[in-house]
Amino acid sequence: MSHKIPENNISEASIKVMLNDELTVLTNDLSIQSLLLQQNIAANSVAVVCNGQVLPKSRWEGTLCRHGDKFEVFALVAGG
Amino acid sequence: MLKIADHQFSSRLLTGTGKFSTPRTMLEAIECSGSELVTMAMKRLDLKSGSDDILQPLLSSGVKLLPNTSGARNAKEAIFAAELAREILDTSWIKLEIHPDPKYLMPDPIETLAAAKILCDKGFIVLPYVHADPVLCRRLEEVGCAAVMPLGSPIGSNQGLVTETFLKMIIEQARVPVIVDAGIGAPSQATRAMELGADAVLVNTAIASSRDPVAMGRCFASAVQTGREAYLAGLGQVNSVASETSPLTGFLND
Repeated sequence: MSHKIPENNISEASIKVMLNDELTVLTNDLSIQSLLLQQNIAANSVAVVCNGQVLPKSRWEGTLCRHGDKFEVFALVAGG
Repeated sequence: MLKIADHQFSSRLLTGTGKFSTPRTMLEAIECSGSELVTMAMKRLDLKSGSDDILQPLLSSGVKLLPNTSGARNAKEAIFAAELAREILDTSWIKLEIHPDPKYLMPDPIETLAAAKILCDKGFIVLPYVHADPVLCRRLEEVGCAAVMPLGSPIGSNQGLVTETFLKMIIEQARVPVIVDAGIGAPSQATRAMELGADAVLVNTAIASSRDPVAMGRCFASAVQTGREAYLAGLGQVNSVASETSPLTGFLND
């Protein structure tokens, strides 16, 4: 189920990113859009911050995750 | 009709989505309240538990969502939160709230004014949550806020209109809608705020924490409407001495 694998199993085609402070190993050439899909994150209800910058939805498809990227995913929750 | 920026609302009751026991109760209570402008907060997604899954049902219900910047401790964080909210909801509306003090959740006026100016300049429709400070409300209006949201008493405290004297001044001076936010704990207090001439009230805890939130939603709907009608009808003057309502002479040929 999880794509996270122990460090000693990381192949050369893998990159490491931080996703909401969790070290996450991804295959190369994964777009932001695919990353959300892979993580079962409902893409229509979140915002993605990449290395401190809000990444507009229009760029999710064309932006590839790079080694060392720091992603933060935000969602709306109940509040007053 | 309540008009905020270019949007018209037939209900003058805004509701929050926090503290309800279940999403279903929340949705039903909001529906029964008649509220058309509903607040939500923003949070970093917990990847293990996922999201609350209340966004889609709320969007389907037809209400307009008003994201807030709760959790922001300064202007910079609030602006960032507003940009995230705009990205998620494709809305430029933002309830600006900056309260760094976790005990009383008092809004920071300096950071709020700074953030409001920048957000208005960026084209956001800004509704700032502030202390009931007439001078600050005027300043927020001057930088372009679409409404002001002064507090009645601390958030979630159900203490009612502790700030009534100052709310009156704000209402008297404001040229943008005044939405009394925070602390309204009973329908009678919502009525009172509306009688004073508030354009709207925002209620969350009083509905969510009642024994029957759905029924309480209905109570607030009629309370707000009654208060508004009373304001329009015009309250009689308050006097310090009695003023007869019945003839005092002529009884038994006195």
